[in-house]
Amino acid sequence: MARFAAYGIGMGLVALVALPAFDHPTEDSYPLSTYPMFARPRPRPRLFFAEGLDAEGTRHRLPPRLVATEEVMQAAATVRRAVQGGPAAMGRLCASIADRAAQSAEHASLIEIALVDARFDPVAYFTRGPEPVERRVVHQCAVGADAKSRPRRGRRGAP
Amino acid sequence: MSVVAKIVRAVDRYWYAPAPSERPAVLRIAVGGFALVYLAVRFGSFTRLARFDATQFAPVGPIAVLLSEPLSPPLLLALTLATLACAVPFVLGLYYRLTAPLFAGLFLLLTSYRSSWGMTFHTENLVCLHLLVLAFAPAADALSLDARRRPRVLEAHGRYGWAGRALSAITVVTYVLAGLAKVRLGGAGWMSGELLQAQIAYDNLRKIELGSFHSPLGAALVTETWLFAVLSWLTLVVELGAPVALAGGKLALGWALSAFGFHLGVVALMAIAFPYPLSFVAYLSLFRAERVLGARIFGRVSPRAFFSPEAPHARPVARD
Repeated sequence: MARFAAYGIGMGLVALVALPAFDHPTEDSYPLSTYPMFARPRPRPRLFFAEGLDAEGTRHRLPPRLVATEEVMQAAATVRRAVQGGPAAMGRLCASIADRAAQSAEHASLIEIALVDARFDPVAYFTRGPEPVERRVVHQCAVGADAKSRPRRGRRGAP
Repeated sequence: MSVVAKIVRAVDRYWYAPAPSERPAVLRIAVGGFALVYLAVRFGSFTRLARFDATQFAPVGPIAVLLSEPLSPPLLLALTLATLACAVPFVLGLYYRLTAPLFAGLFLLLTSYRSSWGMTFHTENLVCLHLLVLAFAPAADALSLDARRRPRVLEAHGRYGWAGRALSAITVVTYVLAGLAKVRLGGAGWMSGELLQAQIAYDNLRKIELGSFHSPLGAALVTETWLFAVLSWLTLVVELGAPVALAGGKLALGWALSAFGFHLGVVALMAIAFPYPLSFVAYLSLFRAERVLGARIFGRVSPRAFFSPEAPHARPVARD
């Protein structure tokens, strides 16, 4: 019985963990993974994020906990999946962010939430300046009791 | 003796090498203890998954088989609480044969559920896999509440050796897979350092744009292309060279320190912490883990629980 556990479970699990080596490296799962996290080429990555606008039209970055959880990548994935899900999914996410912003004293000045789809040159961001190569507001909604949600066609190009 | 028989015997000598019962017990306490603290610290992060819109649900791993829609908030809270609660008997070694597989299974489900919302938490894979191995190993035959009810095991045996070997092999395989992914996906771009430079730049820029804290060091060094070529090669040496750790001794120590240094580098340049390797618990199985019991602190904390009349590694060996 002890040898069965040693080989059946011990070696069996090791073999299972090694199995993704035969998959395409982008085929990721959990807990078995190809660990592709830092391996993908990212020439002009797209980033989806939420931002707040105050009455003067100034844009404010929103912390991840306002979008989803305090995990920054999970917040980004949440915005990306909502954008991919279409206007209804974007509307629901935007409204939930607006609700949380309305309850946060720190974000009392915000009157609107925007979901943004932007493309960056990562190295140029730090060497030349933080402007995205392309920026598009895909959805907006108001903060507060009379919150209304509206999808945006958005203008492609520089901000 | 045929070549095949010689190979089988050599594998068996390595995999089923006699070890004292304290070895898997120390691993149980260390890995289980890490998981317990991790769950307690991240409790809110797990329960806040209830905030997500159901359309965001993208099940992975066992969750893809078990669930077609998200858990209700009370069920998610119950799952998180049950996982946290089951970590306690796992660490204490209480009714281990029942509670250990239960805890490892719940941990697998909870962490799979967390990764089922569009982002895989690669920080949790290794601890989850280690828990699964330990759950089916005789890791509570010493230093446990179960062990107090049984006669003391004083002989080293192969049944206490395989779990540590399996943990080490899994650790090594995960690093090799990460190295292979870099070679297969990045290719020449990875070797030149260009890909790592872009990766570090992108990671820091997205943290800035997403309103989180980033690494000022990583942002400041983005222009140093030569540095990223060096770091890329070092990363590949650590990841693809991981199998040397299975040789044990100084090679294992050298590799574990290199891998630990690699994770420190990731923290410094990308502000991404892999808590399990950074706690060093991930590498404990590469060594004779029971030797930590010789450290003074354990004698002071609980002499009754940890005192052993003779050094565990000097025990007589029992065979099947």
